[in-house]
Amino acid sequence: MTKLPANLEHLREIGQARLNARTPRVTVGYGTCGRAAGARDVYETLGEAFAAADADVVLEKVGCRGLCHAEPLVEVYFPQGGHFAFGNVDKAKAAGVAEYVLGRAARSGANGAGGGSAADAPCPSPEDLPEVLVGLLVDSGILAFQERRVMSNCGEIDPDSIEEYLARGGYVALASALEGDPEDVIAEVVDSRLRGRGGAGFPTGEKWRACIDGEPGERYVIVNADEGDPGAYMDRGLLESDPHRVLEGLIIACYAIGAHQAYFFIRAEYPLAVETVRRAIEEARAAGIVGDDVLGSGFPLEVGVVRGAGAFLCGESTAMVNVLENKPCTTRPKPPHLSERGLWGAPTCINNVETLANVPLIIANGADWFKGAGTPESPGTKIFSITGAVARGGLAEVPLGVSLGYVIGDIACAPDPYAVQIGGPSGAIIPAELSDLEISYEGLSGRNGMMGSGGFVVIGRDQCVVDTASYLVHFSARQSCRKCALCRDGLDESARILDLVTAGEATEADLERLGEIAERNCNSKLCGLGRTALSPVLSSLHYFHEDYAAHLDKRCPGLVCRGLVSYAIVKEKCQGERCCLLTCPGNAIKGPFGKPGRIVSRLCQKCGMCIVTCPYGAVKKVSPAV
Amino acid sequence: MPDDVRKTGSVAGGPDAPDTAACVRDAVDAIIERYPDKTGRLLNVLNDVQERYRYVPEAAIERISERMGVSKGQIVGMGEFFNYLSLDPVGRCVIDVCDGTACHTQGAPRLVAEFEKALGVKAGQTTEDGLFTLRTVGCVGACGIAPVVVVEGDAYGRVRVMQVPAIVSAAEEAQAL
Repeated sequence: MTKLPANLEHLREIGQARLNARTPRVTVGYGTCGRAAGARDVYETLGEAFAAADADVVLEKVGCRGLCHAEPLVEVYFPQGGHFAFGNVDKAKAAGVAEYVLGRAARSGANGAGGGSAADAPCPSPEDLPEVLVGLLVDSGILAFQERRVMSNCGEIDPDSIEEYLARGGYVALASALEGDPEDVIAEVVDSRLRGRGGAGFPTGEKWRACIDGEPGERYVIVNADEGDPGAYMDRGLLESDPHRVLEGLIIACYAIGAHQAYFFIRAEYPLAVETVRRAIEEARAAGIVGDDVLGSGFPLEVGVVRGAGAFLCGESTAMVNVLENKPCTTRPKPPHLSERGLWGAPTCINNVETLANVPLIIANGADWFKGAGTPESPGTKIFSITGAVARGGLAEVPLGVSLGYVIGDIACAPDPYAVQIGGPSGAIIPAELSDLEISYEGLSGRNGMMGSGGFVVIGRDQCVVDTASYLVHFSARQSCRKCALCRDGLDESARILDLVTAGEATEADLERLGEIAERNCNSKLCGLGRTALSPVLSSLHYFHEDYAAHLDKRCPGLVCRGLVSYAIVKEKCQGERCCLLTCPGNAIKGPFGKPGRIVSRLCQKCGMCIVTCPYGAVKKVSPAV
Repeated sequence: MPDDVRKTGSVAGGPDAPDTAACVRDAVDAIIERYPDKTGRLLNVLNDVQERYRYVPEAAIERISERMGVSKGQIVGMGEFFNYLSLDPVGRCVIDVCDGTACHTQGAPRLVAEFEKALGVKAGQTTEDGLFTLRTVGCVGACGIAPVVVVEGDAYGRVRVMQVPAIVSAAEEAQAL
């Protein structure tokens, strides 16, 4: 068993004391989602209540557990082992949680005849929760369906605390890697068959090995945290919730490759992630984990942070290197590969955040343990960010190889799924009916797109796949560096045709042309992004031809495409109260008060206010437009 | 979302108190000093200038070009290509409507239309009084609570069309303080 240096052992004990306190520990999810949902108010309310009662309670800000649908999330851990997760907590409910925790602490104090600690009280059970709190309990089902390895610390520890990371077994993998030969580290990662989690799925160990094949000399490792896929935020979740795990993976990668300088390349749109990583690097430096002499091994390493500025293309490795060299954001032709000539001409390895977060687990537990989850071709787990028309959205980590239906149904609880957009703008749009489809690198290929980085957007029946495809193509057209004609013109023409389709003005010939362009580009030799940018079109034309055909008939089945829908009042439901008229900007609702109204198309601005205003659900959308 | 980070950017750089070109040069020099490492320096500097002034002023482009030996054309090109950078001054209150995939399918375009109506400008424009800039942004990574609107760094989740007027008046009040 590898031992940590004495200073880290000391920090680890501090962390352990905090995580296993003999007092109740209350945590508030303080990631971006939590804050947006109001975590600050909740945290302050809890803090004031505990301070006012002068209570022996540990209150901590933690990262994101991935239960974004339930934010703000407050969790209570009791020293005797009980644990509750309360979801959608607001100020008033936070006061209720504080009251409960204080009440229990007081009771256990009394039980112990004044001198006893809270730990001696019996384990709390849901039965003795006050009724108001029972309603807040988060259905833990979503966690039971997962296999949380990479995310095992997320939402459970304070991301700003290296002590707590150490208490959870952190940096032991690094210490053991440093005891061995760099080649042993590479061999273990090759053996694990870990594949890049950023999109393409290239074997990580082989990528590392390619970097050491050339001449000895300067080398770089870059963490790709420029998570640009709209609809995906796995990397943000990891960086904000467990930055040291990513940092540990990075340091191990640097040791394996022999790089003495590494960079995090993080989106500027993720200011909290940027700050959290910067703090983690400083903490690690203070503890001797980063710097001239990593953990006393003699291996020197510096780690810097560079912020991206909102360009999807920067995630393409050669474009990222260009930007890091202060050049314009365009791709470079390959070869030479970055492993031969990368940043400043030196061999360079770019790894995704989630990829690196897997590395400490592989080194600590071995390649065979890693392969215990997933399929032979796609071992391990993958985090998906599940969003869209779902009841339980958030980050979910599942073994690769699970079925589409499992994620849509068991994890996301999607009420009426129609399609799924997997893998972002480079991925595909797939029917939800394909519930047996295996989610793995091999299952998601060809017309099923690619695994991508983990975006998983469920499209409901009241949404439109053609509109979604159009949205993604417009996105890619904006993000193209526009250097190669095939990519630039192909995307522009596709975007134009899709505009016609969603306006109900396209013809069969247009659709054929769209299919041709998509086939052509997806089979071209363009860069990774150019080649895959029309994958949403290729897949949706194949699986959802009927939806496209309906648009040719000026009908949008999901009632989304503005030009193809109009609003109508259902006479049987309308009570004639005209609440709708109060919010109608066009004054488009006519008819005598007390009688069912009608909407004058000429005046209607299609804003949909009438639908949200009507208490009787008497307004509906129809397509084709009348 | 951006909790306090983006707010610190709203120092003396608003349209009411434009820094003189000399001030901008000094500020840019100080920012460049923060980044001794040449790797990624240009983007780090541009991000800091953006945070300081909420856009990249002409004088800053000139100074960066002089100091770092990069052509002005390239800096302007980067300012145009990167969504996070802006070459035009923005209003005192920036309203970002997220138009990531999740937000898009959850009705972001309708929110944009509603804000356009409430503010009387199109997305990407600033109101005449210099108070509001309306923008659409790529994914802010809060997809679990889509659709999302970020007003001066404060994020609103699960926004309904109905709430748009209230969000605008709350922002107006905050600015009046």
